[in-house]
Amino acid sequence: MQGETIDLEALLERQSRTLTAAAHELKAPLSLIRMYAARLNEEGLSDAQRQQYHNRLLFTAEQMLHLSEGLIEGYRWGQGRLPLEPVNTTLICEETCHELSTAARELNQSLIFQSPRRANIAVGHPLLLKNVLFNIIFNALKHTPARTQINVAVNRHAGQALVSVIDSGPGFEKHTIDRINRAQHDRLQAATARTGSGLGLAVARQLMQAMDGRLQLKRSPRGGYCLVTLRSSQQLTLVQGVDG
Amino acid sequence: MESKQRVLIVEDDRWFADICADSLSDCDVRICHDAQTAIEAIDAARPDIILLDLMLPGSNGVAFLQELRSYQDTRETPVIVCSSLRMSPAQRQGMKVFDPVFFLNKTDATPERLQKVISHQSSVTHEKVLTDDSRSSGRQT
Repeated sequence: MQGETIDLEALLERQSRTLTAAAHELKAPLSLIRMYAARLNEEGLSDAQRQQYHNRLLFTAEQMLHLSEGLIEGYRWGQGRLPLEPVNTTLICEETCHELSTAARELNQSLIFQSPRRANIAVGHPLLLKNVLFNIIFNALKHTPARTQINVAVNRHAGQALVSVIDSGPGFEKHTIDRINRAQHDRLQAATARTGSGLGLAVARQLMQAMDGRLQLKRSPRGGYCLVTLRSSQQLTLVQGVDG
Repeated sequence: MESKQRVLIVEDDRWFADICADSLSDCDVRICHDAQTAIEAIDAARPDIILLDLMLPGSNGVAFLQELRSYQDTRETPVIVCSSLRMSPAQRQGMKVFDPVFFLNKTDATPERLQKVISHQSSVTHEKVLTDDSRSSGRQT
């Protein structure tokens, strides 16, 4: 009984630290939203500047919604009880890239989706997968220099569906790679600490684990390399004859 | 004619850096997104004041401050640490070694406060490090 009490206390302590870390990470976008709101209220702004603030305000709010949703879903389904289903990774990638295309233009970056000839069906959760891809791609957009090219590609290999996000920026720092790749399932706080990339990648990692998938960061000569892996779905492959 | 105040913003969040620069339209503002390019920018043209984030790619704000204070011509350049990290009193006390350093938490940052801090080089929060006496003691530039 005492051992169980200690375990519960340790769990509550970890959850408290995780929530503290998450709350801290959400402060930055909230500060940004307030700055935009204050500037939009000022006179003398050009139409172009007002439009830029409006777009960035919307995307920052969108980022926060995705992060918050990801945190909630990650906790809810963190024990592997998430109901999984066949998902069209190609379609989800396409939708996410379209959604972020305006943000890419705002940042003078090139977001390219290399659409495969056939649908790539994986076992996952459509909303969570979209949340993961949004966080990863938005993270790449926000933390790479202007004129960076970000390539999103969907592939299939050895019974797995692969989504890669590769940017031509400076690449991930070693401590970020170590923390995201090695962090345990319930150590969101460890993954967010000192990453510099914040909550987005840590949330993405946790959601991928909930979908029985994986998120890996790699160092690449070309820049940042982020790989999302899910099990390929055989069910729809047999029914629809798509590429298996 | 009074020259514009030269402000260097060292911030990896590009949108936050841009909105800070827009809020300081009366200043001559440069933006760097990491410590290394910031040091290079300072070598090219010394700023009057630096707005510094503590979480930077490849380095951190403290390491940047250490290097900044190691050079004679930037030893007294005022630095406003603008971070979302809420520092403890002990941490703020530890930062005194890099004086003149001021603190502006991002959660307190508004365009108006930023303008006030930059133009008057004074703290706008209760996290002020220097007292008025030490600020008026006279610094070599």
